[in-house]
Amino acid sequence: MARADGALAVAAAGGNISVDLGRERAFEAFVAEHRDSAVRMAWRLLGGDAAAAEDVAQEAFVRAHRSLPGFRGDAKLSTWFHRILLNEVQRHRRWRSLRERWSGELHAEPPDPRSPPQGDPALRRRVARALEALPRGQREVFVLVHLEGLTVVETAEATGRAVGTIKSHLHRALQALRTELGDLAPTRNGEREVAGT
Amino acid sequence: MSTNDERRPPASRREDRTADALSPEEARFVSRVADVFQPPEPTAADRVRFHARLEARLARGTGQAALRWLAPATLALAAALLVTAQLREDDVAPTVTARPLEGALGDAEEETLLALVAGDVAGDESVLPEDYQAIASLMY
Repeated sequence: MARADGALAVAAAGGNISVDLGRERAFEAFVAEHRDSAVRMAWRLLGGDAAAAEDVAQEAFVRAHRSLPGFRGDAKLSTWFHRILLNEVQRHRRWRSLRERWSGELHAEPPDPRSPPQGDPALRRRVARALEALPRGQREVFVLVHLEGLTVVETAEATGRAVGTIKSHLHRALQALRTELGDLAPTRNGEREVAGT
Repeated sequence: MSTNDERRPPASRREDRTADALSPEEARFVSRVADVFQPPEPTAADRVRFHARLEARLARGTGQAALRWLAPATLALAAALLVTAQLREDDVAPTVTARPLEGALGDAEEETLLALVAGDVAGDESVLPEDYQAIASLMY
């Protein structure tokens, strides 16, 4: 990851044709490196909507490509990209919320042309609903830290919030999810599979 | 769980990085949530399709950026053509020129007309033609 990030960060500062070509190549490498994690992160932040996750990830890459000349290198490129991705996720959520309000349709898990995820779909929907019920800040930090493996500091940079706020959000999110999905946790004696409702 | 382990270390192994160290029970819960809430693993075809779509969108974006300049330029050109056409129309507009009086009247008539304008005609039969003067002399 660091190699593609570094190459793109260096190429981002260019202005002539040869540097532009280098930038395009570096951007391709950056996309190849971050594509899966971007789609996965968007999928988790959008309640398991695979088609929306891909659209959002695509839009984030398009915006990153467009904004790349303005990248000042204040943050890590991956952190900068995560910020773009989170903004796109939020934009999509607002748009989806408006669409549902006007059309009156309830959001259902859309049909996914890709191979379905493994595991119990009902259980997955339960987790998705519990995450959706969290406030935005709590949902974002829980997904970024606990599901995507970012550090608290990286999450603070990506979300533009203070480290203390991230910790607070993490604590509250965990409390809320344990209340909602308490029966999901395995017992000390072994895994306890609980069917989704 | 194995696929998740390959991509990201589970929360229980990242306690040192998440500042708020999770209790073993919390770590198990988080690990379980991560395990259950797994997106589908992308296939090679998915990745190829993603790249193709992204390339198309980027190319379209570049084209649209060019078109953003084209629209005002077209508008400005149309406005310029309209103004030019209007100016040309003003140039070829028919101009009303006074028809010269010269030649329209003979010399005698012209003198009579000038005399009438000057008021010299009143009571002066001398300006009448000779035959009219003869008739006038018989009457008066």
